[in-house]
Amino acid sequence: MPAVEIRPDVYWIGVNDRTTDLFEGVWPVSNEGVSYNTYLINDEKKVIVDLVKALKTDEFFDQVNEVLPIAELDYVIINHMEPDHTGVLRTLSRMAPDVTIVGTAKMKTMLEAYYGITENVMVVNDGDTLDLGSRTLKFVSTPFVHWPETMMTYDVEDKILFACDAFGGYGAMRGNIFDDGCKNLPFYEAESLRYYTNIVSNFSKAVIKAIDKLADVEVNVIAPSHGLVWRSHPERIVELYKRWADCAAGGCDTGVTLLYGSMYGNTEEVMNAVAQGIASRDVQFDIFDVARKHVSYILPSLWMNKGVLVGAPTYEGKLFPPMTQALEMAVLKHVKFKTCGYFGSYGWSKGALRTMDAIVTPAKWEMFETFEFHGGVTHARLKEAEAYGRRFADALIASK
Amino acid sequence: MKKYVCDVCGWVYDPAVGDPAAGIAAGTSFEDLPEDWVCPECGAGKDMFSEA
Repeated sequence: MPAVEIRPDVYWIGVNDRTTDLFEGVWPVSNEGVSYNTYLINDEKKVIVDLVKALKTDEFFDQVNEVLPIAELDYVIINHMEPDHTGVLRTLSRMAPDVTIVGTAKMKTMLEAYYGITENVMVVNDGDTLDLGSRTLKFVSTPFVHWPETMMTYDVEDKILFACDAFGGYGAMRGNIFDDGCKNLPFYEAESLRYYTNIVSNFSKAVIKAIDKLADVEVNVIAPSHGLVWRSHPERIVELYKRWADCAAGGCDTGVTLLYGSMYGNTEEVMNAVAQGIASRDVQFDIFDVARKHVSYILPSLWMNKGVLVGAPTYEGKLFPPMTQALEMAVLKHVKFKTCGYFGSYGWSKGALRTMDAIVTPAKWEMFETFEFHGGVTHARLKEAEAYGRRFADALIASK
Repeated sequence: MKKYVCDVCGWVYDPAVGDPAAGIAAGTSFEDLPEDWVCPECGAGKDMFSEA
């Protein structure tokens, strides 16, 4: 996509990545793609804010060339060192060796660690400014959104906030980069939530801190490093991120995420009975087969719902492994303070619940009743399971 | 005295141990740690800690 002017002399020169299959080597993005947003300011000083993944080196330099020759570049602002944004720096520093690289002190340390670059680095602190000619850039330190070195860059005159990963989302751009021109806003908002729960959720406290810090700053455009550029309703993405960050304390919705795994179909059949019980109450709920649905797509539901029901058999004395993986990832991403339950089949000895307890107790999940059964399905067990689902939903509603 | 856990990296501050490398004596409560004290593992500030 050719360069897109956001304000006079301020361009989006980003790229779409529909090639990478696993973002961070973990999160599937084959169906959705992802964009690396980089911005060029063509003032008296020529500045690029954030870069792209090395995979897109050629396209990046084509994009820069849309506006000016690379030899004219004065500054590169590195809000964040993550290689999906800075990978191209290795080539850029060879092609434009006199460019000054700007970032926090921690950025400077990482710059050397990742790329061996030590020359022409300008360290900036919270509140420092850079005069470009007609406009000024102001640097805002926002550590742990989502790495220690992160900062944001604010174009004071145009009132554009280059927020890097904050306010970002998955989803390659479809010929349009702005929120107002977007014909699939629900898709991009859902992909922002998925991105949030995959990448940022662990740092929700830091997100709230950053949002509070910027509360009195007039922002007309939010220009993140992934996803839509919010120029019509920048407050919308801030509102969403704030809502999601606030959920860190236990989930906003009185909903249930029902995770299941089944070896031979017994736990699955019981799961459907549990689901009948839940469905008889007025709660929103989602069902996921953890062996077949990548946890990336489960995390949004887990994050937003207060209740989690885990239905999986005992496997060699422990919890069914795909369920263990899903729960461990959830705990790693700081999915905390849930009301949970467990049900499942066992062949000869129990053990699944012990594994689950060990994983979720440190994350302060509170266990409701549990329901285990030996072997297969009987009518009595199905009725018991349905009643269990009803009781769980009732407990959840009562705790609101 | 309560232990506190770093939200970012999981390191636990134990008042019984303190943080000798940073000059914090054993027996120092979390509340009494200086405001600019940071997690020795990852550098997160005091505000990124929660009661363990």
